[in-house]
Amino acid sequence: MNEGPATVQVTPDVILAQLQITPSLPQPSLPQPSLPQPSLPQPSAPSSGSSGGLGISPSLTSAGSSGISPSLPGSGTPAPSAPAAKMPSGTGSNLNITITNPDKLPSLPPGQHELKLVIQDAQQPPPADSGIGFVEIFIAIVAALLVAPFVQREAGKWTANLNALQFVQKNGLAISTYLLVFTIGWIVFMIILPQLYMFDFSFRHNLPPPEIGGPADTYTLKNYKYLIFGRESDSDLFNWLHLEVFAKTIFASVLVTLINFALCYPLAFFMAQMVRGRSQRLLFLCLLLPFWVNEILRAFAFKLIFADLGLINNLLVGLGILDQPYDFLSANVALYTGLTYAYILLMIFPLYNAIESLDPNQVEAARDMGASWITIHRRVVMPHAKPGIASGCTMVFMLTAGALAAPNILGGPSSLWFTQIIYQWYNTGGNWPQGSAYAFVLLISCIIFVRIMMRVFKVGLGDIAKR
Amino acid sequence: MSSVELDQVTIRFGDFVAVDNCNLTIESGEFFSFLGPSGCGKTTILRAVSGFNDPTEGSVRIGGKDMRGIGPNNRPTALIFQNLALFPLMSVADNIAFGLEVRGIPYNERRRRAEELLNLIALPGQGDKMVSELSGGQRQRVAIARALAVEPEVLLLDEPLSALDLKLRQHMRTELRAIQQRVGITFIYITHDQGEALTMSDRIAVMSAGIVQQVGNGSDIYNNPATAFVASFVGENNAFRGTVSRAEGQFAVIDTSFGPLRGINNRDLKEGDEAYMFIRPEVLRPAKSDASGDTVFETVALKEEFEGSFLHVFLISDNPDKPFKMAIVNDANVTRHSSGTTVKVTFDPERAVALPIGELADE
Repeated sequence: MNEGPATVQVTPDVILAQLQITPSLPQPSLPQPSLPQPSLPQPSAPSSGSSGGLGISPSLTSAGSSGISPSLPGSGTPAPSAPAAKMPSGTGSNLNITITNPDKLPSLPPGQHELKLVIQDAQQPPPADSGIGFVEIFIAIVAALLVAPFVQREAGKWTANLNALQFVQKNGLAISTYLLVFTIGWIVFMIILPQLYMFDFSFRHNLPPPEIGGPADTYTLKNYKYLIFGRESDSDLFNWLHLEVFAKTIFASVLVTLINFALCYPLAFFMAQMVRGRSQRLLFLCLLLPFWVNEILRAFAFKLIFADLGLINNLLVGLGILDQPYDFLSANVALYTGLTYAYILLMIFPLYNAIESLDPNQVEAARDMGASWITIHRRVVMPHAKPGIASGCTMVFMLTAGALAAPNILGGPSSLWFTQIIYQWYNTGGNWPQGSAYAFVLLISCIIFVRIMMRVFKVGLGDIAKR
Repeated sequence: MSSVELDQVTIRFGDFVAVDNCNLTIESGEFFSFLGPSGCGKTTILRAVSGFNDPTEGSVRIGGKDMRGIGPNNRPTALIFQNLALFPLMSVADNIAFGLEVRGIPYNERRRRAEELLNLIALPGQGDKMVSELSGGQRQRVAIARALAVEPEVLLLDEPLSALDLKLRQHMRTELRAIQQRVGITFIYITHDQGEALTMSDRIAVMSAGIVQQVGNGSDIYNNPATAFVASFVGENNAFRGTVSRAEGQFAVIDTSFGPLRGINNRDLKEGDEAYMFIRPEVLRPAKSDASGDTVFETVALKEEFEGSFLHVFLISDNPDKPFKMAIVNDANVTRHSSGTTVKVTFDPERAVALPIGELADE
């Protein structure tokens, strides 16, 4: 009631009516990822919530304005010339607007005008100064006193029930509350909600912030359609470029996973069954220490090693094996090496844990029965280690398919990883819904792929969690 | 069917001598046991026969053929592990037929052979069960069947009964012996349980600290121990330490703190040699009060234990930790000995054994 030329007072019951007739209010502000892009959808909730309560500042604009607030349907023509405007109510609403200081109304030419109401704090509770009287306080106290015994008794029962739970008995009330609140909090706020939000996002149009929540903000499949069919204006039926990158990413991830498994399995077997004590600890250190170096640095180190004038090329040329340096980077050798190495621990540890639990006598028994080493591994060690193998392969596959740093740094100029496209949608493209759709396609495809593989190799989800 | 010869076999792990110059021949079709306390080297011998480690010196011959350099997968032996090492992820039939599978024998043939072996071990039609569904004794028999499936010439058993409870163990002893007689192949059995060795074996090698102390059949080893270790390890025995005062014919008399005692002298003890006189609890019996001589001694009763068929009387010995034990057959006129009373004890010198001083088994 400050900036408007005239003050309009609206009584609380009017708000209800107002809410009914304006179906698309500004959305409640969702958690927004903070990115510097200007095209990001910004919730257009007004920030100047005056403590004066339901401030409705009317602004009279000429017809045809494309404001967020819709014009009242079927609203008649307000008579701006009249000092006290009595607005006819819309369908099913009874909106009463009283202009208290008509002399401040701007003089408008006669004709049709649209009344635009901007609701500032529609959801704010009634103003504090509406006054909670002594009576209310008194009644509240009496009510509280009356209710208190019941509450106390129920709360007592409730804690008793809670204490009867084995989980609570084992950990104590404080710790179990902590565990529950934080695990549930973690799962809900760190995993489910953000993913759901992105999921929702992937079905929306890429709108400029002012239009978000507006009539154009509807659900659509176009982001998914785009991945498959591309622009309608394109001559090709399918979006071959992106589909190809997608397929290549999945295929290469499978390849990297297999290479990783082939490298790690013998090593894990050796560490789990053949060595003990000092040498085992030494091996673990050798595996772990390099991972203290950060991922980007490791990727760049690989780039240096595989570069045209890098270590390997210099060596090969120096030894006369090659006439001229081989372009490992373009051939994606560096990329696959880097990706393989990046997640090697996630393969080795599940494998090690699984193989370590195998009774060495089983290997000896198989050998004694005449089995070759290959047969021993195929029939005895691998079946035993299957959950570990599944766990390691799943993690490596998922992370490789979702890797960004290594493809960015080590990928050849012609190669594109699917995550790079996603990144481009979010970053340079500024199209979050499109990026979300791509990201979800990748996630769901990976999950489906892994589940199919688990079905093929008869591994349960619980088996993986055991390791 | 093959004999197993151990020819001057010595096995060392670094400086540690696990088996010291072992020479013995196990006849084809024999049930042969290695008996000894844990760490005596018996399992090492078994692993040398099965091929998991080659002897440092000497040679292992199976059927006259030197086995050096031949891996366990290529030897005509099959080993049954202490914990059986059945494959838990395979069915019973797959377990039994594993050795045939790795030899490339077709499925139907394998299946038929497994069924035959299941009949042999009295588990017909149980081939589709998982190992985890079987009881301890059944698993035991499956392990035997699995080893027999590859038709080994020598079956090696590494304390396979030790995980079973007493009742089952006793039952499996008879069963093992029966299976051995049915299939007729050489069994080499490793155990620290003398009861198992004595009941099942044709011959037993008693081992201590990497050395084979004595080879013989059960009664040989029990009645005519060759060393102090064998005498003290196999069965219960009372050891009287002293010096040989007389050696005449097949007897020797040893002066002990309980007076002179006479016993068989198989080890050519000479006068003045330090020696033990071993007398088994069941050889000792109460003497008449007027008895005397070198087959009688006097000591004090410590306590009595009544065990049904026997009454065990514990008597004060040289060693406070190890009192003498006398086992009296519980017949109508058995006399009770209350604690602290002086007891006169006698024995049959033909069943007392004089042996040179040597290491005793620590119970």
